[in-house]
Amino acid sequence: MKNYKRYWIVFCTLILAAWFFVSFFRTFYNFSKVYTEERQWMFLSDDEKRSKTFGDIYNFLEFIGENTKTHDSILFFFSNKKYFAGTGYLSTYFLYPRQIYFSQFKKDTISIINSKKFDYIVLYWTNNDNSEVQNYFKENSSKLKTVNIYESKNTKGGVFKYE
Amino acid sequence: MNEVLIILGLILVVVIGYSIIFICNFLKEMSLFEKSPYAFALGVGAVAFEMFLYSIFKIPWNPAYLLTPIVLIVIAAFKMMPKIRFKHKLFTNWSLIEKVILVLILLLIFFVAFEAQLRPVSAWDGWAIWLLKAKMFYIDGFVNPAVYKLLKEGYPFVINLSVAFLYTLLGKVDDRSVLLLFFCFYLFTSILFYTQVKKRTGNLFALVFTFLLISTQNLVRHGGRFEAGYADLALGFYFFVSLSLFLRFLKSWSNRDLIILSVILGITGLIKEEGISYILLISLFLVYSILKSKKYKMIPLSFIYLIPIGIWQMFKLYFGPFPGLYNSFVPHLNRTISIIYFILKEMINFQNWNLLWILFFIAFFTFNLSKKYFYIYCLIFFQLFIYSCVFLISPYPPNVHIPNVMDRLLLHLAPISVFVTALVLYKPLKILLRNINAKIKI
Repeated sequence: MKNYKRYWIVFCTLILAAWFFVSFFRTFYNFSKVYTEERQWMFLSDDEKRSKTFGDIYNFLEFIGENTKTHDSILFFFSNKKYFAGTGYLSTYFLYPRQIYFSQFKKDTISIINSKKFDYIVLYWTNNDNSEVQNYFKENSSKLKTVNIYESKNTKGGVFKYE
Repeated sequence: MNEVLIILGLILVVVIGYSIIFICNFLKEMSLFEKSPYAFALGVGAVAFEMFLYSIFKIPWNPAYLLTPIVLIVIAAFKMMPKIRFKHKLFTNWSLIEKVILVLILLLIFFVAFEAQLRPVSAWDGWAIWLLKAKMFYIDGFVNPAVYKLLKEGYPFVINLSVAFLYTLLGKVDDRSVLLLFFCFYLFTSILFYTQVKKRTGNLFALVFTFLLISTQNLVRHGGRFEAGYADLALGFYFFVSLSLFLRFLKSWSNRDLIILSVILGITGLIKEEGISYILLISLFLVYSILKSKKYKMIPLSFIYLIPIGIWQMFKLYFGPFPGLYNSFVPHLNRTISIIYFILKEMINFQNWNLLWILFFIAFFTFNLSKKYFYIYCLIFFQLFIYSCVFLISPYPPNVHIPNVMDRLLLHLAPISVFVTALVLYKPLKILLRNINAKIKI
């Protein structure tokens, strides 16, 4: 065997040994997580786990589900894009077969509300976010028939119908 | 209760795979244990394809209709099944070290199974693609083409429909219990890896490398912890199944091995689109080897994989076009350096990979003298090249796109890479250990 190769083999053996020891300790570290990290999950219901994973939006989607029928079409306006990345897919996942039109609320989107193509209008905003959707709700609450209002510590929203 | 029903469903999937193996007389000399990953791979493909064909022919997806052909196949296989002999010598010749590593492997498998059942699906692609479409198809009762347009993607159907199959057996959607399917990909990757390495090296070496592979944090996460619900571990599993069958065919030159390989290639192409380049290269190697050995009658058999993939492509043509991410194919060549940088950065990500890729490259540059491993290295590097090309045309810049997806793309290649590293290192390490032993004795 060439000399340089012998050194490489020794080097490989050392890396292999290092990899093995890391894996060995990680296996037990993973197991320790059952006690340290996972203990808090074990005794929760699936709904509580989803709420813990996805945050308040999951509770709000459940709320929409309870206040609409399975084949309704829903216009879902939220306040601020940065808080709701991916929520479009999440709302489709939890509310299907309801048809969800999911969009950030802007002034030019009011025309979609006025088109009255949807069975319900859903508005949702965070309390610390002084947004257009909140202002729209304040200004037009008389024009919308409230089906139900949702309130949590940091968010507010509701399911509405056209008056 | 749901977990029990899903476990029964998964056992049924494996039994279907075994039945196909017995009826077609595939993998004859293998033990039931060795056959199990192939049975699972075939079973998943079979139930997904059954669901897809039912959808096309407008047959309702109810358990009675779905189980009727399955029961008939299982009965036919039962009649053809050879007598099973249980070996009582299990573990008797094993050294203490081997038993300790086996315990470590079993601990990992138990941990991943536990994690898979701890939470409902929480991974983005899980609820935004794979389980979302499974849920939509299950609720609609057929493969609704509108779903692809709504979700703006055209990923193939095997994972969605095998999940929808389990939902149909269960009679409802349960996105926690169904994650056991993703754990099964982890489990059967472990079994296949162990049996394949053991066959070529020995028990201790196979156990060590199996432990190294399945303790990789990225595999643990995709098998059950947080990222269960992605299809990437599934694709890695099918890549490895295809490779093992390809290597088997190159030794046996049997028609049966070629047929099962081609069928598995067909299923691999329907897991994720990233599988297409891989199966095309294997297909190229197959055709080249067959032409070289002048066994021309085998050529048509090597293209069986085109049937399932062709049916899917026709479905897409008929109901499509389905929107995709890559509408422009203009390459941004100025990204080349940053693409290489970000790929290498992910490869040395200790958190995800331990020392997997470092050892892979050292073994490749130092010991890659044998032509035996040419095909395997070609497959790995070709696939890496294809992924790099995708980043060249991606609408997102490399610093955004690559860190988001590279851990998953490397997962496709991880089992094959550890496999070839184990084979390449086997002889040099054996010689080194022998020399050390001899010096100690002197």
